Amino acid sequence: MIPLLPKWLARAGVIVLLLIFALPLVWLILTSLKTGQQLANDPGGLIFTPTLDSYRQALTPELWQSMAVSLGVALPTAILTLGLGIPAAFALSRAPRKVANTVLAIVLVLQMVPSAVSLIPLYRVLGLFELINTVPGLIIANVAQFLPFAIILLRPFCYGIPNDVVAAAAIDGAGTLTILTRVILPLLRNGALTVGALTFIFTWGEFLYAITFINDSALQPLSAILAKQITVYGVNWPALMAISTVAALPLLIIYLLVQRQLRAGLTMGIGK
Amino acid sequence: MARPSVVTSSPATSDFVPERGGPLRLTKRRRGRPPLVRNWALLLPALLFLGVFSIYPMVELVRMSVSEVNVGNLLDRVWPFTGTENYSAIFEDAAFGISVRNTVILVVVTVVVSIGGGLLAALFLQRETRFNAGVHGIMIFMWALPPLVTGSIWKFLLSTSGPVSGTIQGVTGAPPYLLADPNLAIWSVTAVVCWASVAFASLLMRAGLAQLDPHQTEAAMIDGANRLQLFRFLILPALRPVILVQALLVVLYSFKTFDFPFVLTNGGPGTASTTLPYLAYTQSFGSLEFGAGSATAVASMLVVIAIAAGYLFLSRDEASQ
Repeated sequence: MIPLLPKWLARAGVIVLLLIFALPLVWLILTSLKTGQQLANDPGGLIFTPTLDSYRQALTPELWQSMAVSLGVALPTAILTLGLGIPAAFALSRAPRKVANTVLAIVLVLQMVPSAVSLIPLYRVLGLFELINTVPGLIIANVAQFLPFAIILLRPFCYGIPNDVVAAAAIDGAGTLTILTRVILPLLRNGALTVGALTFIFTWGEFLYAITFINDSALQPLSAILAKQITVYGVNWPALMAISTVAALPLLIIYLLVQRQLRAGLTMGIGK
Repeated sequence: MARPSVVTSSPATSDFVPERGGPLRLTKRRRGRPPLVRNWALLLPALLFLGVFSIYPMVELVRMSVSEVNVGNLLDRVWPFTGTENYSAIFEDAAFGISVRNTVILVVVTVVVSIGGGLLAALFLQRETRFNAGVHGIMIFMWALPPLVTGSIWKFLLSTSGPVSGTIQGVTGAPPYLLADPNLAIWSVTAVVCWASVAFASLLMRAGLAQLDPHQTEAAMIDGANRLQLFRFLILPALRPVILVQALLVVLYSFKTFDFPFVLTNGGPGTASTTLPYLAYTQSFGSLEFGAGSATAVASMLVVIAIAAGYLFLSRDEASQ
């Protein structure tokens, strides 16, 4: 449609949006390049001699180790969420209305449980399976948290898959697994990419389960280390901002790679 | 621009098998029988997983809320039954009332600001230029960034020595304690949650605007409608479904928010910025009273289920239109 707002007003508004959303990012990077002394003298200062001191200080072997753990948690979480979510979403898109609505209602309620709430009984349930303080335990907790969201987001995409294509594959002798990976997955490309990327990003930043379920410092993901740094009294801001920048960098790369699909996919998934 | 590129077809109501009389059939066994068996097989792994790691924990949560549970007996099979003791204990605690109040402030303000702000942002970004796409890209990225990261930036910006406080001090002369003042803390947390959810809301709103029928607008403009009338009588009614869905999503998003208060204020000072889910957390893992924490959790879940019922009711309404 014809843009509603006059050009000058819209342009001014966009500049304000840019300031509100980009400035925090600018400050993150600027602060990470300061020394503690520079920051104390002039916290909001824009003119200073940048230094990589806080990066040198922050990028310890332990931090790299925790990044490896983060990757080892986030990647399996994303894959497992898709592996369980895609068949479920597809089945829901073809199931009789009553079944689909019932399952969807359950999934919706589960999606609404705050992680601070699910944390309490999950601590017990994971404890019963002896999964406390293990990476698989953390992965399971994360999948349980993101799977309902994945099913809801993927379901609208499944309506676009024609029955004929699936039936044709079945007649050609393809089994369920082949149909899922060779027929349905490629057709769900945008949806799967959206859900996969978001699950990865959310898991990468998830810290509540991580600080609660993992005690062993060698098994702690980056987010847990970051969360502990933030809550200590007298935060070392440059170091914290350096770690935050490092933590955000992989997410920026993923975002730049999939942002087109991500925005379209989110719109599609939650709009329906 | 943000329009989905793959699928726009209306929801198919047919089953795995083409319509009756169709040329192809997946299950050859019984004619006309919906291949539910096969569908269940696809649904089963997810349901089984959620059953064990989501639904069963919820049952345990309810059981814990009526029992005496602490660190010592958390993994026991049975707990001493205490009836409604946990519930009456949490309702008597002043922290519960404060948390309810904070939760209401957080949810209501966030919904209003993010719907208004999201719509405004979408109108600003309506022209599909490269620059606008870039700005919108940054906004969505900031939403997608972990609250752990964006929250720590805001903690720095809002801290007493930070730039925001510095600016306010320059105007009023007194340094504001945006995060440390018990009267201000929840509002600061709410402001940051609003910041993130405006970005999120602008996504659906912008897509909704892009899908408006250009002929309708043209016709209205030929008829002499001004911008305000266009907005009031054309855009707003057309965006109604999007706004409703968005409002409910933001209610849930803000209600669930844990990361922002954790990072910004740790629920404090004291319990000044504690919300209901946050209270459940501190009771369980701070004071290790799992029974009380579960009772608070159950109470807040009832709120969530009420919202869910509203969501389903509304989406059914919209679907039947």
